[in-house]
Amino acid sequence: MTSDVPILSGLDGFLAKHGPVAGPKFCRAGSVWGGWRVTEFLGRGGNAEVCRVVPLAGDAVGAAALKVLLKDDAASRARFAREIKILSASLSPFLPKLLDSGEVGGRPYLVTELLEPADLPTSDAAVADYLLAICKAVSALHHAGIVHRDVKPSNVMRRANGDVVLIDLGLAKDVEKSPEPESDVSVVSGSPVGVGTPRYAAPEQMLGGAVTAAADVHAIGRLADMAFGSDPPRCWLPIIRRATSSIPGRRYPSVEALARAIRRRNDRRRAALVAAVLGLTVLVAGVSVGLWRTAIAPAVAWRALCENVSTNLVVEELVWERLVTNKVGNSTLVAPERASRQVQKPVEATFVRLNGRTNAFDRPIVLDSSREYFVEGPGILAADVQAKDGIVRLHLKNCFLFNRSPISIDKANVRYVFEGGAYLNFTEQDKPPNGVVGGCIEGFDGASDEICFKGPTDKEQLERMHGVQGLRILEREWE
Amino acid sequence: MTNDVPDTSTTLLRDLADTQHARWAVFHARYEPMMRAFVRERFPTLDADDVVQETFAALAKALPNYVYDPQMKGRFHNYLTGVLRNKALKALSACQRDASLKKRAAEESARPDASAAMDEAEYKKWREDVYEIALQQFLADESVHERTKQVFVRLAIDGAKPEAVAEAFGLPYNTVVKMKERALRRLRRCVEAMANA
Repeated sequence: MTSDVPILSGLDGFLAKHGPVAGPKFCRAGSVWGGWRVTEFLGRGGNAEVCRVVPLAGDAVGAAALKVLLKDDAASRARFAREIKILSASLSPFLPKLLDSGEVGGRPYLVTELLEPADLPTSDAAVADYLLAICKAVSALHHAGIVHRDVKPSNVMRRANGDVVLIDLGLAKDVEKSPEPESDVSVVSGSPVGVGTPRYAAPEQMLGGAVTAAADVHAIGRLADMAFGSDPPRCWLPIIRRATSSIPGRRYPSVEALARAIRRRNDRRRAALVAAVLGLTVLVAGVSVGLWRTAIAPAVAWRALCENVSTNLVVEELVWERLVTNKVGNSTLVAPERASRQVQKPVEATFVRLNGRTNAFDRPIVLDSSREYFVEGPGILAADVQAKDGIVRLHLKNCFLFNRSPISIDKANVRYVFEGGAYLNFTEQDKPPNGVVGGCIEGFDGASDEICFKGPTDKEQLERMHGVQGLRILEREWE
Repeated sequence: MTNDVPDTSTTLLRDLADTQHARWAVFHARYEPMMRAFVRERFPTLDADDVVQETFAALAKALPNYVYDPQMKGRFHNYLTGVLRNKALKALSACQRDASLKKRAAEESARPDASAAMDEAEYKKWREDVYEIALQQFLADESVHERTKQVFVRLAIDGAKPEAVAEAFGLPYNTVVKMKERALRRLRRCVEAMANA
C-alpha cells in the first residue's frame, strides 16, 4: 500500500499540514481549576482529559494530576461522581490518593497525586510483583463491594518510589447497590453492549451481562497474558488459563485466590518436577492434573492471515494433550473405563480468542489438517472456512461463526465441535438434511428455520448425542 | 458439561450476524433518510432502496468499527454522498447494459450535472474528507494503544523527529519508527476501504 494507489497519493501531505489533533479542550496550560493551575496537558482518554497541575497557593503538596470530565451526559457525570466517591474512601494504598475535587463552569474535576506510566513488565518476578499489587488494589475494592471493570495496562501507573497504583475508577461499579447489568448502546448496531475494554474485559462483561468480581479476575489474567506474550513461563500457564476462562465459575473464586496462585506458582513447578522425577502421576480429587499448555512457535499461515486484516485477534499456540481419541483420531468424550486405555498424545493446536466484535475476512481461512483449532469468544467470525488437506476439527466456544463459503469439499472437511454457547450459521444451501453441512457438525441439537445450529448445553444432552451414559467429563485442572 | 457458559444473548448474536444493516441500526437511523432523499432527487429512475442498501453493505465492510463523531457530521455527509453517487452511477451503467432500461438511463444521463461523477475539485474535497474521517476513526479506535496514537501524531502530524519522540516517550528509536509505520499502514487500509466502498 503506497502512494501509487490514487486515493492514497495525498495522504502524506494531508497529515503533514494537518492542525494539532491532540491538543487539550479544557486542560490548557495556565487555566485554573479550583485551587490548581494547569502546567502541562498529559493526555486524553475516552471520557476525560488529564493534566499536570500545581497548587495556586504554593502548598506543600507539589505537582498533582487533574482529571476533567469531557462528556456532559448524565451517565458520564454519574460515573465521574462515583469515581470521586470511591477515591475519597481511601480504600487502599494501591489506589490513587484523592487530593481535591470540584466543579468549574459546571464541569467536574478531580485531583489526585501525580503518577507515572507503568510499562507492562516482562520478567517472571516483575510480572508477579506488578500483578500482586493490582490484586491488592482490586481486593480492597471488592471488599467494599466494588468491581473495577476496567483493569488494563493503561490504567496501571507508578509512584516515584516505584509503587504500582491502579487508576481510573470511571467504570467501577458498586454491585451491592446497583446489581443490574449496565450497558451502553452500540453506536454501530444500536444493540446493548457491555462497558469495558474488549481486549481485557470478561465475556459476560462485554455482552452486557451481570458483572461480578470474577470480571476483574479475568482482566488481571489478561494482563499476565499480555505481559508474557507468546512465550509465558510454564508456571504461569495454568494461572493465566484459569483466570481468563470465559466461564466465570471456572476462574479463581476471588482475587485473593489468584494472588495466592501467583505466589505459589514456583511451588507448583517444583512439585511437578519432583513428581516427574519420582514417576508419579499427581491426582487431585480423582481428576487428572491439568496438562501443561506450552507455547510453541505460531502457525505462520494463521498469523500471517491475521496480520493482513484489520482485526484484533489474539492468537496463541498451544500444545494440548488430547485425553480421549477414537479410532480415527477424533477427540470425543468417552466413558472413564475406556479413557484409561487411551494413549495420550500431544496435538498441536491453534487457539484464537476473539475480540468481542465482528471480524470479517475477505480471504478464505484455510485450516491446517495437522492441527486442531479452538475459537473462543465473545465475538463473531464471518469467514470462508476451509480445510484442503483432510479433516480439521474446529472447536467453537461462546462465539458465532458465520461461514460464508459456498458448498465445497474443502468446506466439508471442517468438523465443528461445539463447546458451549456457540452458534454456527451456514448458507441456505447447506441446510440439513440434504446439505453437506449435516456431516460437518459434531454435536448439535438440530437446525432452526434460520439455519443456526447450537451446541449441547448440558451433560445429559451430550450423553444423548453420543449414545452413552454416565459420561465423566475430564476436566482440565489448573491448580 | 454443565451449562455454566454465560447466557449469551441469542438476539444480540443473531442481530449482529444477520444482515449487515442490522449491525448498523443506529447509523441507519441517522443517515438513511438523507441517503434515500439524495438518490431519489438525483437519480429518480433508480430504486433508491437498492442503492441505499448497497451503500450500507459497502460501508459496513469499509468501516466495520465505525464510531460516530458528531463533529465529523458534515464531512461524513459529504463522504456518504460521494459513495452514494458512485453506487448510483454503477447502477445506471448496469441499466444501460439492459436494453429494456436503456431509454430511461439515457434520459437520466441527459439530466443536468446532478447525476454526474465528481469533478476534480469535488474529488479532492471528498478525498480530504475520507482522510479526515479515517484519521479520526483511528484516533477513536480503543484497540489502538494511546501511546501508539500519540507517537503517530507527533511524528506524522506534528513533524517531530523520531529521535526526539523516542526520548520523550522513553522508547527505542526503532520502536517509535515501527509504531508510526504500523499506524500509517492501518490508516491507509482504512482510506482504501472507504474509497472502494
